[in-house]
Amino acid sequence: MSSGHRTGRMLATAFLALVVLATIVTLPWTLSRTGENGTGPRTFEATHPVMALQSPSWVDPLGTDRLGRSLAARMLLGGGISLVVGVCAAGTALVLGTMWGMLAAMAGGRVDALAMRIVDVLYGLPSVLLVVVLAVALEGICERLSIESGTARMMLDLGALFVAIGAVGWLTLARVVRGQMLSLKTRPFIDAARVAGVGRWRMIRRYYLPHLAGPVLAYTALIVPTAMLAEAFLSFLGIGVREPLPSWGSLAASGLSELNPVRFRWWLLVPPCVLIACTLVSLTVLGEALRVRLDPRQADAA
Amino acid sequence: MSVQLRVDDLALGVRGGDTLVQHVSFELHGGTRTALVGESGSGKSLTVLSIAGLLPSAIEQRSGDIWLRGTSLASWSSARRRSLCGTSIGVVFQEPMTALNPVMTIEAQMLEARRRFTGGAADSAWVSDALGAMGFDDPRRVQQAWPHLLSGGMRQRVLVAMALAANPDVILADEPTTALDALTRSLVLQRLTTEASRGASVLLVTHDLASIETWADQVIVMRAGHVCECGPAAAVLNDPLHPYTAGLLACTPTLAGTGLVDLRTTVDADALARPVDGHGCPWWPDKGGYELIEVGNDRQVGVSREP
Repeated sequence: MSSGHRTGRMLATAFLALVVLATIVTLPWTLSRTGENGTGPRTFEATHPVMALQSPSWVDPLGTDRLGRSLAARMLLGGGISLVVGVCAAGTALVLGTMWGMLAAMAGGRVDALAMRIVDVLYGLPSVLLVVVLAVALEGICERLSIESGTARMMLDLGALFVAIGAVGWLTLARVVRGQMLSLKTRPFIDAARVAGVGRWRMIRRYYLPHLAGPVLAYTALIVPTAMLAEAFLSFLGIGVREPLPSWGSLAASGLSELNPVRFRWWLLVPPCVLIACTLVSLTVLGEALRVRLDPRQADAA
Repeated sequence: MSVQLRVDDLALGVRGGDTLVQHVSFELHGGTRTALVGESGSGKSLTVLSIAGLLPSAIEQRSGDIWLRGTSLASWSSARRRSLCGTSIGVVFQEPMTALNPVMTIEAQMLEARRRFTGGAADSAWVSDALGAMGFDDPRRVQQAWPHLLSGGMRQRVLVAMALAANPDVILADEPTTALDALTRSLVLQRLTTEASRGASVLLVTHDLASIETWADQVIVMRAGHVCECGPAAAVLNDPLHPYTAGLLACTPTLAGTGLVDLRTTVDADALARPVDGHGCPWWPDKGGYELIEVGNDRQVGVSREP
């Protein structure tokens, strides 16, 4: 059983390392917009109407989409964008949620009640509404600043995407952290450390955080794939990653629209779905491994 | 020696509820060992927690004051009180299984407790010395171990070593020996004696009347949140003035007798009705007008002003 776990961990690590390397290292090339005259490897937005909807071949290893764009190039860039979105959203949720939850639990009383009611209210807001408001606001800002297109607009779109995903992801984390903190506060070893004269910051760093790390990391590992899926949904609504920029989520979504009983164009749907699924499983396995690793009672057995 | 800690007319109660501890007064002198005895729920632990500034949020201090070497702590915030912890007040907790941080090695935790004394310098040699003084044969191995690898008795000894890490002037030990075997218990008591001989005052909460007779200098007997009797250990335990102390002693199991008697029947009702030194009858929970009176030879008895 133990060796099975180890193999799983190694597979997950190897897969993630490969994906990250492949997508991030090739970013300068995949993002470049030059070389669109048909010679050499094509970039993500170079269209070829003649070669539309070709199945995988030596010229296009992953086939082409409806506009004849190389799916290999689009998958590489899309992977980079999806991973960055996932990691940034998880990072935002991790920092914001942990701090919010810890502050609420440590302050206690009215501050705690107020902080948690804010979380409740944000939970109650439909996230789609939030996204639409954000999209409209962003449109207005862009008009006011006369930003039509280009890199600045792209960055603004991505920024709004992080806000929209991050605004939802940290809520559950704040609740998890607060609950964990409340139960930690009643543990005798916390009192014991306090009477031993351990200061407030050392208390947080050496006594609270190591105990929070397990559940928080396990949960954060789950936020990454959730954010990647949310990004696909939000891109569909017109916020975040916009055409012609690809992401795994939007590639899968467009692949799904090509699904019909007459002709099954699997190369549009299967690669993004498989990669999303494998990334999700790998992150979960690694999150769990990390959690076990941080618990000395289980680290001995592992 | 000088008075290290003075508890003066302390009253504790549940916020908006019952009073749990009332009129508790005693003094701890430097270099002395004091035992605080009484049945479960008599307010011993609460008294200790309030001295350490660790009262649960549901409990409040109603009145009274605690003096640490002549400084009143009544107006101190809990954060300021916590700054006393370690160097001025050391606390040994009751539960050895949960009072150690499971994700830190013994050495790391002991060094955290030591920081107050050394000002942050790592002091690995001190850890093995301190553990050796607690009777560990192989302190180096214990030092590297995680808490879950140690037995209850070993953890309790580690906790004692941690509480003493910064040479506190006042040591509060809340039933540190309750779950221990006889050998470890005498070891812990010996270690506390060593601390007393360097000038610290030790307050030990315990149920073990047999071993405190020889160990303690002073005994405080509590019942229902009040001090029944207080005085030199030998005098109080051999010649109790309060019928409750006598009843408690009669219930103590010995090798010779069974000791399995009902406390309600062992407390002498006649003695409860007999005035002490002409001051009033011994105090009992159903009587009002509590007062702690001096009866000579450093002895005090709780009596009731009302007939």
